[in-house]
Amino acid sequence: MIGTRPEGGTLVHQAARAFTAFRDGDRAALDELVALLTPLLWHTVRGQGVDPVAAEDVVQTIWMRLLHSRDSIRDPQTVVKWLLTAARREAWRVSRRARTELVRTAALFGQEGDELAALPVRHDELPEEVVLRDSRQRRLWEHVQGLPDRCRELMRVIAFADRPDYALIADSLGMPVGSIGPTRGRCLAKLRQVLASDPQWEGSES
Amino acid sequence: MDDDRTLAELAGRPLDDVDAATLAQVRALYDAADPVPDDLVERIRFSLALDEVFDEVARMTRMPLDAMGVRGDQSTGTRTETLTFSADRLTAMVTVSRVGPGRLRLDGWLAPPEPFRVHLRMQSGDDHEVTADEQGRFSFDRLDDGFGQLSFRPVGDDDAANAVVTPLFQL
Repeated sequence: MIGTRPEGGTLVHQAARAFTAFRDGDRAALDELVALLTPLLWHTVRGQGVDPVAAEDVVQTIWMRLLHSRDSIRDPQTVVKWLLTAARREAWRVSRRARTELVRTAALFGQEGDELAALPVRHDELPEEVVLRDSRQRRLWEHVQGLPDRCRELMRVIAFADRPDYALIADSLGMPVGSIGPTRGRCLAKLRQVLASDPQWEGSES
Repeated sequence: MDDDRTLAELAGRPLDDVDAATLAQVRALYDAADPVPDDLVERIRFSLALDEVFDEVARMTRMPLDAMGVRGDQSTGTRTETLTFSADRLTAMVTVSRVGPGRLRLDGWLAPPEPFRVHLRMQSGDDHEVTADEQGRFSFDRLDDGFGQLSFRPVGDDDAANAVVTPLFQL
C-alpha cells in the first residue's frame, strides 16, 4: 500500500472524516470508522502479547470508550492517535495482569514465580494450524520475530497503514520521533538488512 | 562497527519501493498468521449501537478457569464461564452455565448490593430485563447461545447518564 487510498486521502484522513460525520449525527459513519481502524487496533493489542480472546475484549472496550468520550476529542485528526494510545495502554495493563496471574498460579503449584516472571522476550505466537503460504513467508516470519520487541510491534501495525501516516502512528505507539517516516528508520532498516543478507530470501525474490 | 554504520545510513534514507514491498509482505504475513477475527467488526458495531447514553464502560475480566482446569467440558453440556465486570460505581460477577441443549442460564451478583435494573441485550435481537434483589443477585434463564451485552441502571434513577455498560461477551 503506497501513499493514499482509492477513496481519497490516507487512513488518518479518512478516519478524521468519518469521525467528523459521526459526531455530526451520521450513525453509519461510526460503522465505517470501526471497519477502517479495527485492524490497526487488533495488531496493536496482539503485538503487546495479549491473547486472542482478551485482545477482542480490549479492542471492543476501546471502541466503547471512544463512543463515550467522543465529545472530548476536539480535533478529528487525532482520533487515530487517541484510539492507538488507549489500545496500547489497555493492552499493557491486561498483559501485565495476565503475567501476575501466571506467577500466582505457578506459585500455587510450587513453581518458582521468579522464573516465569523473568521469561525471555515474548514472540508472536504462530498458531499451529496456520500454515504459511510458502517458504518465503516462513523466512519473513522468522526475520520479523528476530527483531527487537518494539520494532516488531511497530512493523506489525505500520504494515496496515499508509505511508504518509507512519510518523503519526509510530508516535501514537510511543516510539521516538524518526522511528519511521519520512526516513526509513532503524526498525525497517534492520529488517531490510537481515532480508538482504538471507540468501534464501534473495534467491526467492518474486 | 561497519554493520552499525550501514544500519544508520540505511535508516536515514527515505522510504522507497523496496520498503513498500517489504511492508506489503509483512501485512500479508500477519493477515495469514493472526488475522482480525471474522466477525469482530460486526460485534463491535453491535456493541456500539446502543440507543442509550451511558456513563461508564465496565472492564471485563475472564476468570482464568482454563488455567486451573476447572472449566467444564462443552461436549458433556456443563460449560461454565465466570466473568467479572468492574466499573467505578459497581462490580458485577457473572456466571454463564449451560443447563441443556441450546439453553443457557446467567447468574450475576452485584456489589454494592443496591437495586439496579439489569438489561441484557442479545445480538440475536432478544432483550431481557430484570431487577437485582437486595443482595445484589440477578439471573436470566432460558437464554440462547450468542453474544450479549449487559447494562446496569439504578432503579428509580431515570438519568441515563448513570448507566454502566459492558462489552459484548459470548454466552
